[in-house]
Amino acid sequence: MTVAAGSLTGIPLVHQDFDLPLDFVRHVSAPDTYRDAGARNCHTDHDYAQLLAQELENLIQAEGPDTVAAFIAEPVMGTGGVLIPPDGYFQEIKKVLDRHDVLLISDEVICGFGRLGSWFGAQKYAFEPDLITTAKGLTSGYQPLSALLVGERVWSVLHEHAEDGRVFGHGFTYSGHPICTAAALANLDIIEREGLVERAAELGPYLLDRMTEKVATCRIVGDVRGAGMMLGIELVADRETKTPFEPRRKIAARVMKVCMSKGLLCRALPNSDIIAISPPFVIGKGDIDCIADRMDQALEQVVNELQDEKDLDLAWVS
Amino acid sequence: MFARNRAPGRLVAMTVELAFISVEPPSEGERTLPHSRNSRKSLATIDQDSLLHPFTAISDQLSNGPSVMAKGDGITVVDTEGKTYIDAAAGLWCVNVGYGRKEIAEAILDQALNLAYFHSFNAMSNAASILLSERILRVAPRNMERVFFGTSGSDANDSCVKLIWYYNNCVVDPRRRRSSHAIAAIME
Repeated sequence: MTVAAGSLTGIPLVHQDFDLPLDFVRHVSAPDTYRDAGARNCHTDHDYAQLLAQELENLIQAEGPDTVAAFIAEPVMGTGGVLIPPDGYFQEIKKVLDRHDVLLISDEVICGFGRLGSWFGAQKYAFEPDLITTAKGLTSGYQPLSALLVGERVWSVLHEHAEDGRVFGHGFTYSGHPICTAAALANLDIIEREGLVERAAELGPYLLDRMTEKVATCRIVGDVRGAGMMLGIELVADRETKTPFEPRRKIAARVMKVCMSKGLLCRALPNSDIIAISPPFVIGKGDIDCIADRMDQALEQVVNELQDEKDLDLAWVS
Repeated sequence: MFARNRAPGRLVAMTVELAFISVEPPSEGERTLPHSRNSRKSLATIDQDSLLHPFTAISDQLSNGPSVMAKGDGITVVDTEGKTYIDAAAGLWCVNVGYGRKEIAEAILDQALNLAYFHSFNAMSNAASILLSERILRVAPRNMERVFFGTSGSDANDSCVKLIWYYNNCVVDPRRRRSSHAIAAIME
């Protein structure tokens, strides 16, 4: 995690003990339709999207519109909690940005190259970013490679101001490393030949349906949500009140370890008790059934362990 | 993990036994590490003695040891104990085409043999990067015009911040120069 990216993120673990964020960044609320929308009395996607856009407007006004360069968001937030934006979110945000001449960056490090069932998340949610950051799915992890895509608005200025011979004084020894870009070409060949973006679009709803069917009624599962081949399971101590577990319990990490013992790798996200599932696109329906079954078994095991431990601060433990 | 077979461009997977490796006992004066008591050390022990892991509780690594992965195929990976897992996380959201894809391994090998490295400063270039940039733009939103390469998602976001600082210096908008703010609704 680099210093600027570590400043842009809102994950406390990345900030604390590292003297971050640097002062160039300000944060607004991430869209969270499970917790935040209701807590702020928004009962429709439209109301919630408008409220988040108003929050951005207020912050831009407070900072001074002329000092705000850009706004960055992931189409679906990944490590921050598999947070799916309310309908119309990016359209409402874009109105605010356009009013103040502020650039929009789509962070597609996770979403890019098919994860949401479209080549880019910006296409799925029908907005036009000025810049796009990508990495992971570009090579499927076979080589380290990122690509920053520069849109017309920024490129035209760079182009226009190139006449004096100035150097774009930024880059890395390994920018455009031929082994990494060759791996990416072969990876894109596979994605196109096997129709894996379309496959992710087709299998995403199946993954969400199967997982919901299996685990949504578990007494420590508050929410099961997904978009394309991204799925999040949010664990709570009390389903009615959405009360989270005390952080010291590290409940998601505990479920993750039980999953491992059952031959299933998933990820406990660092920010809260959310388990992320994001399988390879080549997965079959039978494998998805197997993932849902193992997750169900792991959750049941943890519920039983909590019962046995008789932690009386959990209302349902008797 | 791959060795070159006799036929050019063909690859065969080597069988690897990774759980244990034999090492010589430390000679006099050589540093001895706390977990290394036997000459036959486990990879897990060497890990505990040698590696600082990213995004890891150091106490967990030192008391429970690492999980050492050895092989991957399709959607599964196998650790050095021989236990098989479905990788429902695709590594860290990335192994979208699955493990063990020979086409990619061959492309890597061929490129390494042909031109293992060259930089892109001062308008230096290479065919793979040129073709990839065009190909990315073909599937990207239509207003995208250029591609800048790095090696990680983090560095892409750092490059993006620096590019915007550069952009604001080009347009000579002093108020949006280095002091300019980025507003983030992101937690990656």
